[in-house]
Amino acid sequence: MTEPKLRVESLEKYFPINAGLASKLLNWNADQQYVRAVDGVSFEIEPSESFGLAGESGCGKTTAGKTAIRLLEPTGGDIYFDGRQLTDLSGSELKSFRREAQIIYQDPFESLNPRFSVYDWVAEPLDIHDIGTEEERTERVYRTLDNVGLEPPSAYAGEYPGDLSGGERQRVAIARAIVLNPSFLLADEPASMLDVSIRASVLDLFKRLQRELNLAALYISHDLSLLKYMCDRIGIMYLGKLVEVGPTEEIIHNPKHPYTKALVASVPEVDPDNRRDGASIGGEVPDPTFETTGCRFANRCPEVMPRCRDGEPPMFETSDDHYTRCVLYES
Amino acid sequence: MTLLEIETLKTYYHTETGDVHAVDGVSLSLSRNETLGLVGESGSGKTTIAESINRILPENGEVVDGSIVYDGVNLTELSEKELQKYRWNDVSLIPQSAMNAFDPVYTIEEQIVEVIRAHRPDTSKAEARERAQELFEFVDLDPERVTDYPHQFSGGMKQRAAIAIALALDPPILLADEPTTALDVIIQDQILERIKDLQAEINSAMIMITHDISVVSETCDEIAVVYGGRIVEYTDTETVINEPHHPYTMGLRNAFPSIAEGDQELISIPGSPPELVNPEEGCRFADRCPFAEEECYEKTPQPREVAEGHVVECHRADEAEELRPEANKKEAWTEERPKDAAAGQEGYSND
Amino acid sequence: MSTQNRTSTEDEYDILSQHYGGRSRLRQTLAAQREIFRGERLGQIGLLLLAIFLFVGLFAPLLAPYDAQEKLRTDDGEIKRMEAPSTEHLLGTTRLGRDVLSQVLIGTRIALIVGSLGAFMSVFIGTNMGLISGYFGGWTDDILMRLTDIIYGVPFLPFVIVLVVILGPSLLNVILAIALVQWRSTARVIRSQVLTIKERPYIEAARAAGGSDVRVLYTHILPNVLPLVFLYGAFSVGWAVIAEASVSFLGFGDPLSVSWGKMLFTAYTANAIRTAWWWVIPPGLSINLLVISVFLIGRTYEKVSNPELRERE
Repeated sequence: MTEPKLRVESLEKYFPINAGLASKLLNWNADQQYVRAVDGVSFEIEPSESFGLAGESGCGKTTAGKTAIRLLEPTGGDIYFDGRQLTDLSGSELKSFRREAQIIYQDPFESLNPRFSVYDWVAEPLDIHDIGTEEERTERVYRTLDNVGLEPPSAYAGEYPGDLSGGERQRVAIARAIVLNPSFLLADEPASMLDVSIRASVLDLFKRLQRELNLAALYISHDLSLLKYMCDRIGIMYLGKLVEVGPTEEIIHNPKHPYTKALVASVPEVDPDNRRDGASIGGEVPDPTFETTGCRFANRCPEVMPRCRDGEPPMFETSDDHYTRCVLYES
Repeated sequence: MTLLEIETLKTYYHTETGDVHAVDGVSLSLSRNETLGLVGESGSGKTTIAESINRILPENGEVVDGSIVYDGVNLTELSEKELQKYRWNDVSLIPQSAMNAFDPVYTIEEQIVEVIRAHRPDTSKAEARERAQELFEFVDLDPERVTDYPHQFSGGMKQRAAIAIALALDPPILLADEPTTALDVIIQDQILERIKDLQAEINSAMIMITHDISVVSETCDEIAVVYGGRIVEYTDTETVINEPHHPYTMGLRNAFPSIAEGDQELISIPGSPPELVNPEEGCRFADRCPFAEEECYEKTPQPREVAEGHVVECHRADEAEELRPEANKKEAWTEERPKDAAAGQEGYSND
Repeated sequence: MSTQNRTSTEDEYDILSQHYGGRSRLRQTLAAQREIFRGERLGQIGLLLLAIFLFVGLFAPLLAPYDAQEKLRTDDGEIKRMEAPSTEHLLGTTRLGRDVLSQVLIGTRIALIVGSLGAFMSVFIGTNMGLISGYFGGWTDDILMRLTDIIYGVPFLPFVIVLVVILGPSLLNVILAIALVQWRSTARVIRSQVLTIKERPYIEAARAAGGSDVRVLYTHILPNVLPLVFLYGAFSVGWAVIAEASVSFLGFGDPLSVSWGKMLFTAYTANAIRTAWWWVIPPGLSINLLVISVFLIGRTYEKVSNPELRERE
């Protein structure tokens, strides 16, 4: 068995509420309150696998992704990258890890520095890690621009983000991410800000690059149909916790957790002949400071039972490689 | 019975570089109880159509031609003051971002009461308050929370409240501009369900504006596909989805992933949406269209009826049956085009 | 971009890399400055005024008809006291028989030195304080911002006077004193700007690529706050000029140099403020014009960082 590319175990990320000096001094004896954005999340991603994290806004999926590559400092838990403990890396070790894991953001209008030309932006990682001579860098930047479909590269190199369309900007962001030949990519809602007609070309670019560069990827999205298109496995998050993990086919066509069922059922479809039933749950995701001793979904769950409130249910394996955090599946 | 009739509407934005033809000859009609979906990408002009009806255009926007006839009155000819009578009373708007729809310093109730009393001055405060509670019940909100301030509501609740306030005066026409885009799927689903139910209960017609073809296909009776400031295809939902006649509609259908379909091949439309600053003669989709012929570049196609109630703006609309299977093939959209067409258009624009 | 660039060949990579590499950053910045002042009538007037002052400052010894400190005498050996303007002395003379025009011209140098050095130092301190405070946050931010609060509590002019008295009345000490107080406003504004910019995804993208804090601060954040730095730089020039004039007018300036403020001070001690208009108006007007010129320039920059001002035209 090979090591997974990325493995996180009981990952936690808490954000303190009211952390200013004044309030600390004034409330020195009060308990510090936290938003438990990620509250014990475990998953692993194999080399060249695509894993998706889905859930409603505020479920902690983006925080989980960023914490997993230490763009945010974890509050607790362990992260292993290629089998190496990542949690307490620092300095040059952390810097060399940064070569391996890259991130793509949702909003291509915000994720490029407006003061950097396309060339400078894509070349910067090479500069940071001191790779190659000036000529080698140039060659590599141009090859990368070419590879992400910004052709001819010379027409783009001197442009500034303000001159580019959304799709072009997202390609520039992708170029910067792959210029270091990473082995892992985190893509946070990579297509949700793009126009419908060009989304597919960006998604297909991700697929091709993953194949060509042997990239493992973590896709984060609220859009299950996008994850279905992109991913081998999907994890569903609710209030900081994974409630279901399994192969894409299983999650979409055979969801087990009542929350996943609701989520899948509420995706609208382009099929006027086939009316879906729609989601069966009411209410909304509670406030992130929400605390409970039982199942987090109990208050909205259509199949709630008294024992759901007795304690947090563990993950049950409902079929091969398919896990669900719901007492319905206790064997 | 036709409630609203828009004819060859043209709305331009005056900018330093020239007039942006955001809406460039659009004709639509809306019947009582009908739900019409305007589908298009950002910058297609779909929102400008709605803003023209209510005349809430940005300062540099102007309706330069065409008519919007409601109840026998051409709204474009009215003065600002005369039009004010129609806003909210006859045509009300459900905005995309409910955050901006409410004033944070007043309770929701106060704001609903104000809207009612501004348009119906003879309504008593008590009556207006009662109406506010009724509206809250209508949109599945707890009527007791009507005295809350906007910030006490979650995103989904605010959107419901925005629908409530839009319904306050029983307007015959509702304009919904991306009413669920900012919401999560489950909430979106709840709200769309509610909107569908409401239509059965009240006598409002609705224009739903969205980029999401799946949302309109689930909620709308008719769909108008907007591209480059024009309506390229306009007919009942089923026909638009199952028998599209315009290549853009055909492309859109394959452009984004569906949760239901099995192994799906996505097809993206190469290039980017057209510049609408003083556009030249010719079909605006021609640059991106796999079936474009010489004629398409030279002459702007005019709307024509390919079947009853099915209007298409395409020179090759008659060949739709043959083109459709082609459009479902990925090669059609990539073949024989320069490789850079997929991303290259704008890079050249400042040469 | 030229049309020939469209074809990509290997050799072209070299040429282009030189073109698009770091060197073009300066060119881009200059082009951006031109863009800012295009169509801004008042800003252009400010630039023109400043250019005149710079020219005068640079060539003052050549332009001045007399030595500014020389006691001029008539042919019969008498000191030319308080002479009204004449063709010989265009702006008249002082009580000690010095040529006012020459003093104003030479005084331009002091004003420019104080303005530019004072502004540079205060903006340098303030920008770095703001960058570090805003970027690192937490305790660093708390400490630096409380320090800023303390400086805010210091009354400007008395502080400068006290410091100059302690350190000794030299031009450099006046500049130092000005900079030590003046940085506070720059620090505050830069910090708040950094707070918004550091949340942008492209800053996280810079860290995700492995960029160090120093790199993120100075190559990613700084260029984005630069318009504000220029704005506060321009205002600081004005404030520094006024401060120096005030200090000199109150008699705490450098006794050896001729500055506009000191001219006013000597006119005042000579009881000539009401009588010798030619001795008072030229230095006063010069202070005014210089300050106005930098404020006009600052105002133009302000429009860049605060687009709302553009609407009010």
